[in-house]
Amino acid sequence: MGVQFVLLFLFIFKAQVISNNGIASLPSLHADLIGQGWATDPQFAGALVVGQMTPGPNGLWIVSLGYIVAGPLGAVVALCASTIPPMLVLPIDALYRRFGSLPGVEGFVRGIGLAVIGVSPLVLAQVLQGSGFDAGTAVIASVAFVLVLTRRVPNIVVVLLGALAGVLIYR
Amino acid sequence: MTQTTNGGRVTPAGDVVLPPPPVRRQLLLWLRIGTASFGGGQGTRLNVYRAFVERGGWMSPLEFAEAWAVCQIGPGMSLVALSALMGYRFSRAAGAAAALFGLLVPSGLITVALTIVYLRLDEYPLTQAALHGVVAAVLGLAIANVIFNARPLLAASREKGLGMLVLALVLIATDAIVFAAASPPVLAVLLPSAAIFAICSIVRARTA
Repeated sequence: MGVQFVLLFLFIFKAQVISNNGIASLPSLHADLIGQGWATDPQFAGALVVGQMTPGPNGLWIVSLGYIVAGPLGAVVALCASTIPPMLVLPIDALYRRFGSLPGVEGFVRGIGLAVIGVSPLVLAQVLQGSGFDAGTAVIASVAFVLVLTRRVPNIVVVLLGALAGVLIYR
Repeated sequence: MTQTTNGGRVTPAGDVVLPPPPVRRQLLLWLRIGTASFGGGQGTRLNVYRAFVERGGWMSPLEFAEAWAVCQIGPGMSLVALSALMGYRFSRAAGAAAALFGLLVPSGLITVALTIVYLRLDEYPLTQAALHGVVAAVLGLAIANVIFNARPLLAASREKGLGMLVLALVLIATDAIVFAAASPPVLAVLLPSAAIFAICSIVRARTA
């Protein structure tokens, strides 16, 4: 069955509205697109991998998926549907700038910031589970971390060195 | 907010921040970030931090960490929200448009190109090995991002007293443990922490 672009837009829009990071939109989108018979599990896996590599937000995996299931127009539909929900941040930020000096508001936002610090490495670990975590992963991650802290090596070089190390270790 | 002689300002936390650059320069920076930040959201956030906070000095590290927290409140991709927020704070609608365009158009095109390449190469063992390495390197970038945001938030908590610093560390540890043990939705962890920290901040402000 062919992909209906309006429906694809609505599926992606809904998945973004009910989630607040790139990966959290996966379950909803997975249920909808598999349900319609528009995408397969390996296609989802491939799109998620591309999202980890490409510049821009991880959520661009949805653009990759849009391209896989419906070609260039699918990618455009996916990008548009994913860009609208985050714009709600502008009124939220206007409120924050107005009331951010109140202790309660300041504490609320800092509390979220602290919780994100506790949670975000684990969110990433969940995403990485599929590819397996071993000693090689730990070594590459540690070296990448140190290179970043030196502030002398651009990210793109760090990522390319990671790819090279991966080839040497896992081939 | 205090102005400085060069048109910059001093943040409530006492950091000196420069006035934002013209929109055209912002657009060029976002285009560069959208083109070269391989490594997904982690690589991109790191480059945004480097370009606008470390090199530009247009935002303080604490403002950046708090902006990232604000972006968790709303729906959708946090980095898209962050770029719109920063662009809007710098130069209103024109700044937000420059940020969104510069970040998403090149990265969207590169995503499609990588998808085409990946669809042809994914069954080769060499591709899988290289990807495993990339994913591990991205984990390293993620840890750097966490540390860049943790430092100013912990320093700000320390300024409110030792009790708030201890509370901050306990919250980070508790959230990590709860999330690892039960994997609840992210917001179910963020909101209670925010509420606890808000209440303690109010109590502290009343008693101080």
